[in-house]
Amino acid sequence: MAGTKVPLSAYRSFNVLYSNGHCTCDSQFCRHSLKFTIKMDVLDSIRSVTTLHLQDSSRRSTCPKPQRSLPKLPSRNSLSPFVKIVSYLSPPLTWVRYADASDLGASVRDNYESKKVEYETEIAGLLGFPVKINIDVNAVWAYAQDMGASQAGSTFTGSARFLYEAYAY
Amino acid sequence: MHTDRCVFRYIDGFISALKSYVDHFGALGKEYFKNAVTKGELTVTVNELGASVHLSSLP
Repeated sequence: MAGTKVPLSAYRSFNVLYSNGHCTCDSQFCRHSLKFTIKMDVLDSIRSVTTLHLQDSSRRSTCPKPQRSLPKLPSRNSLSPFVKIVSYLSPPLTWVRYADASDLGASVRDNYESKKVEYETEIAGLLGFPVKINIDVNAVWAYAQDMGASQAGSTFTGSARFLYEAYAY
Repeated sequence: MHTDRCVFRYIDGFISALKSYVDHFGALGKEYFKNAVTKGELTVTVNELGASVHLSSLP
């Protein structure tokens, strides 16, 4: 898709719209724990090709301090041989509290997986080319702070109910 | 607005911004957007570097 000269201003316009156009509070997650990206190559008349990640970094100034810090991964070298083997076999930070596991699974299935195709179709209709949504909710949800597992799916997709709740207070 | 009731809406937010963008810039804007995107995929991933790095400095 890349190759045609794209003004940097077009990218900046969308970035500003994305950053300011919706709920800008990330208090539910550790402040720096997530990045939202769509990879774009932007050609500029002054510089050569620049790869930019569209991300939500401009929202940080409005965010409250996280209530707990980002969990730290132990260095693999400091682990016992057994734990080291297990850590290589399991993906990092994909943990869920056991009691929340069924709620999380249902929420992801009902509010995220079931709507993904619908959202992809809507985006493709707007842009004129396909965009795949690829979010591993289980991996990211480990960083959620004060929300119940039943809210996991809709946290990433959004819904009228949450839109109402977010702006009603 | 109470921050504890505020919810991330990544995909809704993306679509909302996209609609505003297309409304504002029209077909030419869509063409620019298409040419700028090298991988048509939206992701939300864990930043394992945490607060130790500024997001804009990520590759």
